[in-house]
Amino acid sequence: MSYMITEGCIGCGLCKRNCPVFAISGEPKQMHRINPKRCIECGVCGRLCAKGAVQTSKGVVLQRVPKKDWPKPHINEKLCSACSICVDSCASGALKIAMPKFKGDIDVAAELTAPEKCVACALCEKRCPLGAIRLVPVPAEPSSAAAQKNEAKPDAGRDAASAASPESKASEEVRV
Amino acid sequence: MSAKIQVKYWGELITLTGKKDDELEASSVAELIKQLEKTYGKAAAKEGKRMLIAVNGTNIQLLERCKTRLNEGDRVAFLPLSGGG
Amino acid sequence: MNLPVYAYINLSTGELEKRTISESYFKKYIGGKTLAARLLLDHYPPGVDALAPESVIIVNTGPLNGTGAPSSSRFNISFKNVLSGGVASSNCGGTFGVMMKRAGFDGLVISGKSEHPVHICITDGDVELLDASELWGLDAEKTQESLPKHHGKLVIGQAGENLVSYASAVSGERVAGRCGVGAVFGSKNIKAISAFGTAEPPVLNKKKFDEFVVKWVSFLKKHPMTGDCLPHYGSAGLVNKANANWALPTRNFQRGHYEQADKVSGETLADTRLVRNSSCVSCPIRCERRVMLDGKEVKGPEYETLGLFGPNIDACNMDDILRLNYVCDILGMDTISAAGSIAFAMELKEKGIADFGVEFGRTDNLVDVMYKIANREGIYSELANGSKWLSEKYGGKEFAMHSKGLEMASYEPRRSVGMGLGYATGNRGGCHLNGGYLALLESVGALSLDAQSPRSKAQLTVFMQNALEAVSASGFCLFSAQTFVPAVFFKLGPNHFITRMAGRIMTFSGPLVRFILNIAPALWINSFYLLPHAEAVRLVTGIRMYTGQFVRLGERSFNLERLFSLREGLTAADDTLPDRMTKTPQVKGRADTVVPLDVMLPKYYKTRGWDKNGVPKPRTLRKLGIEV
Repeated sequence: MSYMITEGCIGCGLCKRNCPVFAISGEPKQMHRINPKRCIECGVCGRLCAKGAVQTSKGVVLQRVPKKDWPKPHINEKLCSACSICVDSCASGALKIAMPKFKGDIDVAAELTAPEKCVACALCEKRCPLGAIRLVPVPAEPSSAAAQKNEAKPDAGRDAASAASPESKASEEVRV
Repeated sequence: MSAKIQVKYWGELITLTGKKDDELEASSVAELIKQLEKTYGKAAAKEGKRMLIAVNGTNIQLLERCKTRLNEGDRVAFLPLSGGG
Repeated sequence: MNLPVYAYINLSTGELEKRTISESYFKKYIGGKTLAARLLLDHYPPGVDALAPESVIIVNTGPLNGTGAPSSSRFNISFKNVLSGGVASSNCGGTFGVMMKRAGFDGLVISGKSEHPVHICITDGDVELLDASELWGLDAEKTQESLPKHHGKLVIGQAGENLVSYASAVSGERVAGRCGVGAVFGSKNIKAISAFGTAEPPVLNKKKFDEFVVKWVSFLKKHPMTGDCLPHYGSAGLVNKANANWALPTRNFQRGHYEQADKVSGETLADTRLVRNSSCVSCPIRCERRVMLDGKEVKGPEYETLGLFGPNIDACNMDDILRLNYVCDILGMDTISAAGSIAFAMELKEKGIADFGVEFGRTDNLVDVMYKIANREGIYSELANGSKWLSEKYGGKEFAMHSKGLEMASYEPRRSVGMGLGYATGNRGGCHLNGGYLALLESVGALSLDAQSPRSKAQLTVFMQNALEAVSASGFCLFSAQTFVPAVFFKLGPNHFITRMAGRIMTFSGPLVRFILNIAPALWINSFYLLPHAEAVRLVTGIRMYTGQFVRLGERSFNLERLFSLREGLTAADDTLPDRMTKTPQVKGRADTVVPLDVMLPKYYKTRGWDKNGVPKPRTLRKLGIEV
């Protein structure tokens, strides 16, 4: 099964650059195509597409999600055996095995060293044999603080969201 | 008639004794372990006993085990076990 | 049942074919080196030279590769041994195997010779032959940098291009080192193979398998060998232990003990050079050493490299060894055979027979020598042929330290006579792992059998060879099998009465081991404490695999490889060791410090069910279900 790109595609290349398994091909400003043999239905392309041009094999159109709302992998260090399957699977290089904390430290685990690179494809979660990685919705502190504000003052929350939007637009182009 | 022995610790023993190189007085390996216990406590002696003990680079199992005699200036190393291939 | 899919590639004609392995083959041979040995027997044209265009090379995986099981990234390459003319298999832990499987292939059967350098590109069930003329001449590191970043890669360096007899194939920083796999690739003009895909390898009983893997990983983490020794010191930790037991080859195996061995030991490595430990993908053991070299983090040396580029050439310069290890890797050259050949050349010089500009105690010029060997420059072209070839030209067969042409690993067989039997009988030649690795039980591990006694060694060697063979065939790293030495012996230590008694008892266990080998299929048990691999195979494939059948699978594998070697012209006369090992005592005046090969070999043949000429008896083949 595979996702599909539909007529609405303007060939901006955002999905192609961010596909974690390099399944999307296409020339700039031309309609792009997903290789059905390779697509893992992670939905990264759909979350990025401003035109709503990605749909599932059943025809459901994927909705765009702002980057700040993408879930992030959370690693349970107690379960992790540092076997590096996740690091190997992460095409964007967001994960690494931690460096030893002291000489002779062998008790290390995977860590999210470059959260801004993560495209939330969830391959790490899917392939981790120990179930040590879970994608959890939205990072902790700033957003939870914002969420609290939102509850208190709806107007201020809207301001904050609009102020944040140019920033998030810039960071959306993860791999340029 | 004990002799001064140059001792080298590895692995857990470094933590237990707080040093890597040491000088102890003993006339045999068994006595050396006793010295270890006296100086650094039971845990150190227990750990030492379960390691591979080499006198001047040779495993005491090829010598006379714990009865191996030690002479002035001998080097004793406590080596961690290992595997691989 | 999910049957393996193989790509048959003929480089001469450019023909590509996808074939599914039959169910009967899959059930009988599983995959990896076992299935590869069967396919070699089927497809290799008898008598054809290893480097001839018609030769066949098989790159394949086992059923466990890429499933997420611990230490399951190892893939196998089987071919005709460049050094011995018999069978060869080489095992590697890079990402290539897993990626090839995700790309939809369990194996490649490659024959023919390409007209120009070729890059075999495997993606999503398709195979493409791309021109690699621009890559030719690059070292293994640069070649990999030139290939698509996300692909799993398998490449050769200059050594392979120039057909150095012990050239290796490199995947990431892991190496399929032995037997000259790089030369075979080079002879076919294969510069690189790369793979990428996203098809997850099939797991039949996913839920139970996942639970099993979690338990297994925690078992590995708790076991002193795989959870403590190997992550801390890697295989390099063996240097001091082998040295303490006089089993560390010194000066081209003249002695077994080196005064300053500590300078190149795993402990010193960990203390002074180690940046961190790392692993092949999927491995929780993490034995790989990472060290700094000229401001760059590179893979550190294994025990073999330390021993053979250290004491065995009468030197102990850690910096030089780190550099030699790195240089051999990027040139694509086996460190064991390279160092073994150099040690032999050094002894030739010492004895005044030949001068290759290398001498005992000197390592500063060796990096230069490595480049010259890899490029086959002038007289160094002779060193590139290995020590067997050198000894045939210059003489000195009694101290050319190889078996069947393959240089011995860094274990002195005179202090580990079972290892000596293993070297003599290993299908690849002087390989410790194909030889059953009794050294671990005799002279470097926690448990110590009587290292000088031939008693029970034949049976134990057979058992270990079979077990390791099966572990390899299913796609696992052999290190994951080291947990079969019970943790309690590590806790008690080698000096404890119980450990010593256990070693003693095992020295007399021969008849029992033979009995177990005979009734193997009746052992319907799977346990973490024996070989957890069997249970993993059962859960992944659905084949009814239990410890007994698993060991029997290894036996089938070993016999298949033997049959191939015999067909290609090897005989019982090749099951031998250099005279230095069998006739010259390691310690003057101690007659027991030789390898009593003539005592052990007949027993070994008998235990294997082979006749006096080392040929498997028809009854043995029937028992194993092998049809020739």
